Amino acid sequence: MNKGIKADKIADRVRSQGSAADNKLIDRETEGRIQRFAGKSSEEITGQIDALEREWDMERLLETNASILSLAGLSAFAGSQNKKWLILPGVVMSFLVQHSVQGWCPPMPLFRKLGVRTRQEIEREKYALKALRGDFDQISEDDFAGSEHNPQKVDEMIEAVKA
Amino acid sequence: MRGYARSSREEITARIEELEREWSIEQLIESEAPMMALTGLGLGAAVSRKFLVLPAFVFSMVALHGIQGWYPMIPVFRRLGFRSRQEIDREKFAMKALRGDFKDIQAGSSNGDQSERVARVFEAIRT
Repeated sequence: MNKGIKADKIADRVRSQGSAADNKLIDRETEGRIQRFAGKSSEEITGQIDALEREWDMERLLETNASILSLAGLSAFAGSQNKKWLILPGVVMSFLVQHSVQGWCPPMPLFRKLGVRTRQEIEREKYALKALRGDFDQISEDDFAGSEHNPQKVDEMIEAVKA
Repeated sequence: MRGYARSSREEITARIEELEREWSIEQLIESEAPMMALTGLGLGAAVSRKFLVLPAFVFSMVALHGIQGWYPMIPVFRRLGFRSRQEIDREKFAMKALRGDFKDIQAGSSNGDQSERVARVFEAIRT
């Protein structure tokens, strides 16, 4: 039975703070994509890996969103000289700190609903595709954790995780 | 990475969990930039408006980081040993490969049936 890619044990603040239903939807989409690419050529998989590296993740989106909102508040203050406008960047920046420490901030649930993934989630899809492309085949012959030290195996492993 | 080639499964698993909790450069920027900006906003509101130049600069730099990836503090953070999430995950997946998570991925593909192979890939990235 295929158990999917759900991974609640992985330390990912956005996943643990966000709604389980949104996590599930995002996982389903990722699983569907991995499934589709399982039958495709190396070139097509490489194209998708490049697209994943360019995908906007949650951190990027929140940073851009927070800084633009804050700049808007600051500009409104400059135009109106009303100090109340400074509350906007103050609040936005406080939430950004909260997000970095704890994972949650007000726009986060909305972005999750829109399907925005964390970098960790994107990287998991990327390494799944790399496995499908055969990047790990060279090193998959032995389970060498705890086995005798083999420097060549380590070189192959470092090669496998390169893009 | 090389230091772990001789380690046991348990040691590798502990390292993977440590990597997942490691603070990335992105997280650090999201803490450092607001601290600077809030200081500037406070001084701007209480002392002199000239201090608002500081948050204006910080907001522009965070926007630049989000859009283009560059941020003035990155060289300092890197010297302190901070890495991007992508770099941390590269080490994590190397550790997973070392643990044997990616072995036998191709074994199920000989009969042309992809579902067994996909299930193995899901299993490999699940933990």
